[in-house]
Amino acid sequence: MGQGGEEERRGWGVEEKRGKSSEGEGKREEKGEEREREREERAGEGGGERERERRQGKEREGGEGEERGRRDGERRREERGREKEEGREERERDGGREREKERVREERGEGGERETEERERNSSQDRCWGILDSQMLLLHSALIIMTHITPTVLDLITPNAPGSSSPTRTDNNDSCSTAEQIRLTTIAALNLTEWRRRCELNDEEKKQTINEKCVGEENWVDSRTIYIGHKQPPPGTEAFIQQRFPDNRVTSSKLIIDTPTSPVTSGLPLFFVITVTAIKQGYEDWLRHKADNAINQCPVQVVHDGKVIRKQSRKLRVGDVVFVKEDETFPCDLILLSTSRDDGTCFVTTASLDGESSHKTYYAVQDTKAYTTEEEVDSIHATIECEQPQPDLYRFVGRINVYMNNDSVARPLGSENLLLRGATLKNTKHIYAVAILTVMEYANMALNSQSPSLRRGRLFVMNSYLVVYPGACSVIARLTDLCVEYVFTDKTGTLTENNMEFIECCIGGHVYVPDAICNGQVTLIQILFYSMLKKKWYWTQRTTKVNTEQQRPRGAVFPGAVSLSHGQVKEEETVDGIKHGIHQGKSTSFYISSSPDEVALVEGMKRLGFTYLRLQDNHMEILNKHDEIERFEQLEVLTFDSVRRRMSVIVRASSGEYFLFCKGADSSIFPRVVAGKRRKSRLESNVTLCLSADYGDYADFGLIIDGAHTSRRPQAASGRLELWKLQRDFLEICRNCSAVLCCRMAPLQKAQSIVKLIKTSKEHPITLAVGDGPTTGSSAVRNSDYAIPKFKHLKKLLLVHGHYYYIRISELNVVFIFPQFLYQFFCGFSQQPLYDTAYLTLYNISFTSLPILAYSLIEQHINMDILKKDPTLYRDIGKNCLLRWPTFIYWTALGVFQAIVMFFGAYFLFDNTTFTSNGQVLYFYWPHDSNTQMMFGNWTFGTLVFTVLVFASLLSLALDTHYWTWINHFVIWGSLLFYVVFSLLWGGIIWPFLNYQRMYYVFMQMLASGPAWLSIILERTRLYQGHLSDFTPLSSLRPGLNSGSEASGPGPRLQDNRRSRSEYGAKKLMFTRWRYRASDYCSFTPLLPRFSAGPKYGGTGHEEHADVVRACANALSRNSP
Amino acid sequence: MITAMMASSYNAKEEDGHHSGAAGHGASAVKSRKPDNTAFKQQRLPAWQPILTAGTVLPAFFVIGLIFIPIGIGLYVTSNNIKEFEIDYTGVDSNSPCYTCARNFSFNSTTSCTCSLNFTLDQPFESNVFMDDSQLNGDPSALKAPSKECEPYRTSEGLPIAPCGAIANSLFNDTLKLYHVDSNGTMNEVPLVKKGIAWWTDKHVKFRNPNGNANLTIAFQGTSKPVNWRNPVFELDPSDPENNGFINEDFIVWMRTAALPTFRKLYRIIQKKSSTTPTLPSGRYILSVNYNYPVLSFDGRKRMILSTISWMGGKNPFLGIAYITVGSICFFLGVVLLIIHHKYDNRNTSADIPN
Repeated sequence: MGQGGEEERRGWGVEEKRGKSSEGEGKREEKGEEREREREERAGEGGGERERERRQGKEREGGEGEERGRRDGERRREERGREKEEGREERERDGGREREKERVREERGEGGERETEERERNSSQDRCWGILDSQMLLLHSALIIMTHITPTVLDLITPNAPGSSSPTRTDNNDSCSTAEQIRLTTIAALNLTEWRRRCELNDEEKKQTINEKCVGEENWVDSRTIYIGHKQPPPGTEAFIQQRFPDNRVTSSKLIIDTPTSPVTSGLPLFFVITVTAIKQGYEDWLRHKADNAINQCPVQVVHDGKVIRKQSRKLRVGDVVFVKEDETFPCDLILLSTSRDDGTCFVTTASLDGESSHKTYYAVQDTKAYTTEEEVDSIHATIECEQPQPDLYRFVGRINVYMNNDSVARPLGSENLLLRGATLKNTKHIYAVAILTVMEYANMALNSQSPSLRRGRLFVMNSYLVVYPGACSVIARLTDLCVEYVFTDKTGTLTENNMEFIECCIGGHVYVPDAICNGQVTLIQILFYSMLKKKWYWTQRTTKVNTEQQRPRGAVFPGAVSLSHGQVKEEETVDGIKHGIHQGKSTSFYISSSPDEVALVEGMKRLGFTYLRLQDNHMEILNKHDEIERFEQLEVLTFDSVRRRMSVIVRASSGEYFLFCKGADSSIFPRVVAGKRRKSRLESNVTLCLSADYGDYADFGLIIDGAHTSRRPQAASGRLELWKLQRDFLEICRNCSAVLCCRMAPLQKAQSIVKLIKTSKEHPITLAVGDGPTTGSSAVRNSDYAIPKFKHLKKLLLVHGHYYYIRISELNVVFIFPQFLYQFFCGFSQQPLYDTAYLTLYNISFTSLPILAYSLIEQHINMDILKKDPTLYRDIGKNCLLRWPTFIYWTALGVFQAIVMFFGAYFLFDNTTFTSNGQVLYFYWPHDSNTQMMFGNWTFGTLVFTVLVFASLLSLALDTHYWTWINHFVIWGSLLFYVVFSLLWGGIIWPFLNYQRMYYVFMQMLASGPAWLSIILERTRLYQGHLSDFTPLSSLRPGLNSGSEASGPGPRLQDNRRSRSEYGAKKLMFTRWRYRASDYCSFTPLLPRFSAGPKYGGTGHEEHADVVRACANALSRNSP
Repeated sequence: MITAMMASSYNAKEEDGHHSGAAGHGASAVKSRKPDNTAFKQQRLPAWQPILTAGTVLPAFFVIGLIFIPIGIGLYVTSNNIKEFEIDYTGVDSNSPCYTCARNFSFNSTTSCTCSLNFTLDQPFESNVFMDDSQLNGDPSALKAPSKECEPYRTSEGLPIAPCGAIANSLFNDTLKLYHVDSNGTMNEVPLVKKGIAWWTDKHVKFRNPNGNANLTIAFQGTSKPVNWRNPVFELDPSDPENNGFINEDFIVWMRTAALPTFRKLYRIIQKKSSTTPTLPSGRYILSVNYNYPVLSFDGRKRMILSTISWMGGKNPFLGIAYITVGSICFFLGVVLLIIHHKYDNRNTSADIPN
């Protein structure tokens, strides 16, 4: 490991070394000086003490030798550290900064000498403070909430206690380089300023220790320097190294539990929840760690001492020269030094990054591209300065200093030199490149970064809330956000599954349809192709072929143009036996291309009689209608990219004529078209904003946004305010539409203007994006909360799993604590607990947790097939109706009702009666005591209520469960059994370690009592009845309400069911659906409108896709003529 | 870059994989993240899906109704058969508290039964119901050092109180005696059994005297009696040495704190003599009360209740009424639903909903 590597490593975890700052340049230096000034200023305020010490130190240095002096030096540093620390806080308070500076300047003359000396020493302390920081966090954290302070790689300095002299410490740099690296994952929470304050309150020695380590400043410098091959630059040309320091600022949280019961009772469930969460997080971390390891340990080839050696990728350091072979993925961000190609270029596909599968060309650094062997590469002596990683993949600014013969050459670096991690090398044998940003380092930065854009890494972020507060109410619902409000989907490729078909084309106003009569009636201007998804969905593929050069008969040129203007096919196609296929009238061969529309075009042309055969000797061969082979020499191919939005082919016909064929988006084609100019205006008016009303039977609005135009408008908008206004208007329009179609959007537009705009709107809706690799949907995907790769997944995800999810989380139980509340009225508000502590504690943990968990995992109230078949069922769900206030109130009211029933049931049972038994039941157990009478005390009362409660909760859940797997059976009945067994055990033994035995035999005595049993049964039945009455009348009423619309309403669905199911099953399912329609969806929303709306939905119920898509398609199809 | 990492992991999820770099080491290391094709993970567990139809719900209602109504009637009748007689002996005039009030009353019971003599107190709830269970269980250390939660009735005059706590301190100490005045005018004391009024487990397991039952005076040495008590705990029942200390049944009954402010506790049992002679023959009875327990200060009431005992305990019509009500509602709902079901079931295929 070279020196440079050490430097890098140090830079990760710790404060930036200030030692180098004096040699920094430009701005950096100024900044550093400013800091110094301030520090000095603070020192000046610190008073003469330090000065005295300094003098003493010098004296001692002279008199008593170096060791002593060093100790004092340390002390001094500590002092300084503290003062600097104070200064920092002061600065944070933003008090009189300017004034200070001025004073500093006055003092500067005196402080100049000191500055250099201390700056040097300071470098090591700065590095060290992070360690103690973390330790202190651990020490002082009162409450541990899981907060990840990044796995920070720290340099651990050999402990040099301030009091003890350390003769081994010779140089600051050395002491740090001997330090071992540690990865520190801290779980702690404490306000940093808070504990800094505490630092000051500690006694003298501690103060010194801490202050030595506490020093630190946030350094927000956005630049970094990399030494290629870890070679230090020649003296005199040293560059300033600045790295962003991870900010371990964490927040503390205070938790107050106020409860009549013991802290254990309240704390245990909380502890349980936290423990479970911690375990879950830990497990996830472990999985992630495992995955990381797998990636981290895959071998990377690195040039070391003139040889290529293999290294684990996690050991890759910034500055390593990496050797990458063809088809390998780049292990980290690299700057291309040299390639195997003569011109110093390499081809890279970034399909895994942005979905662009095309090959992009990257260029080696001009001065290093000649170094093509390991030895040569190893001899490169250069440093790279570049900015910190940006969220924008395509932006990179930096420069490289190449030192040759004591001469340094600086070259700018741009994104054309930067190879991004994850991209793949293509068509190039090998390259040499220098690592500028490794994964480890990046993780470090990203996690500590304040910038949210860097942190947005995980696609699926689940939020689980579990409210456990025994004093209020207990919500046993797992809230995991999967309530997607906005779905973004990429049209091409995603929606069509890349299944495109050539339908017709229009040349000069004439429509050509393969194998069909051309009626010439429809004048399609811009839309040439429809892609086809299951023969239903029509989408425009806005591709236009125009011959710009020739005025030959259009019908003849066009097919040729279409056939020839495909860039990608030439490299990757396989053409087999096309000739044979054609003469049988059927195609036996197929084209393969990365772009499905090109395949569609070529195949469409084939059906029109122009068959593309092959590319031979740089000549494209086309079999025309007359079975003649036309040969075109391919001169140049300009590939498609999203900036130009078109591709071009220059060919030379056998006749010697040159053709430029251009294919692309209409927005980029039309401006260049001479003949098409006339229609351009019409086109624009067509696509800007169209409203199409009346889809199906209900009014629905679809909006089409043309990316080509919206992109112009924000540019035209001069001020930010205008832009903002525009966005707001846009948002407003979008919200009022059930479907918005954005076409011809650049990737960035998708991400920025659409998805981000929606997401940052006031409601912060959850968004979902669909996108699969080849097209540019990834930008939208990256900005969404959720992403799924294929459109076809969306259906099941939303209709089935989204639905289930809603049902599953909408179960609520608030019955638990209400009896306790009621009880307070009857015990003089004395905070007397109704339930035993153990019951209180375990209710949420043991008795009721598993069943609700199982419910939330596997409940399926309606069959998957039905949900898929009838997307209208999702409508109610989509509007969040199960978690709206009425429903919440409903559940609460139900809980209160149950609680009242339970409590007063038991109350009247106990009220003013002895509630005794003459022990007939007991006789079997204690024959000698047959006359025992039982007095039921308060614990019996509570236990009775609790027993009823547990039974009621579980059984009402059982009633709500419609999908009884063995797991449900197991957990529900198991929980009941567990409760009984637990109660028997809890009350059956004198527990030696408890200081109370109040529950002793309460449960058993209660069970021995006939009335208790009867009351349990009674109240349970009562609740059962309450539940039944919830829906049964409605389910019975429903046919009546819907009787008028019977024919149109459920009719089709009924038939569907009959088709797929047995007779009996159909009826059952019918009934289920009614029930859900009627009650469970929206118990409190008015039923009648829903029913009256039913037939309308019913009519479209057989449609395959969700409303969004339908509306989109509809809007489009209405728009297109 | 994180975007790169994310993108690669996202790619790995794709089924048809657009890995352009198949041999790329990054891609090859990532396994497929497709969830296992198990019944659980794919939500395809075999399941029983009960569906509540009119065919199941209506019979359920009727069955519940038909079962509950008889039970309720039975309970109600049983409860009504229980005879109760109640005297409020609080003493109205607070200025002259009567310590021995004799009241005349008649109690008609021709049948042979076991009767119970209860007292009812109506008093504000004790906020501190804590008692030291270890002390009551005979733990010698807890006897000498009662739990702190017994405060303020933990120590008295430097000695630990046994039994400690406010509940024990407020032990009900009225003495009730029942006399039957026969035709001659002589008062025959009705034998009241004071054993068997507490839970068996309480008496034999939960409550124990320190050092067993041998010489309670020594066992309780070094402890103080509760402040309001007249006698120390080992002299609660002078007549029966076995009934002293913590295992005194009156004490145990008292220590089982009531749930509600108005509570009724068992005081004595009147055993039936034989199956033929009535336990309490008709006639005049005299209740003699040794009035020790002051309730007037907190507006409490004291009552004596003479009650017969059935299998379901004391007189409590609530359970019976509740059963009848629930049963009736079920039945009624069943009928209503049946009518609705038949009236509106216009699919007129009676086989549609299998009843």
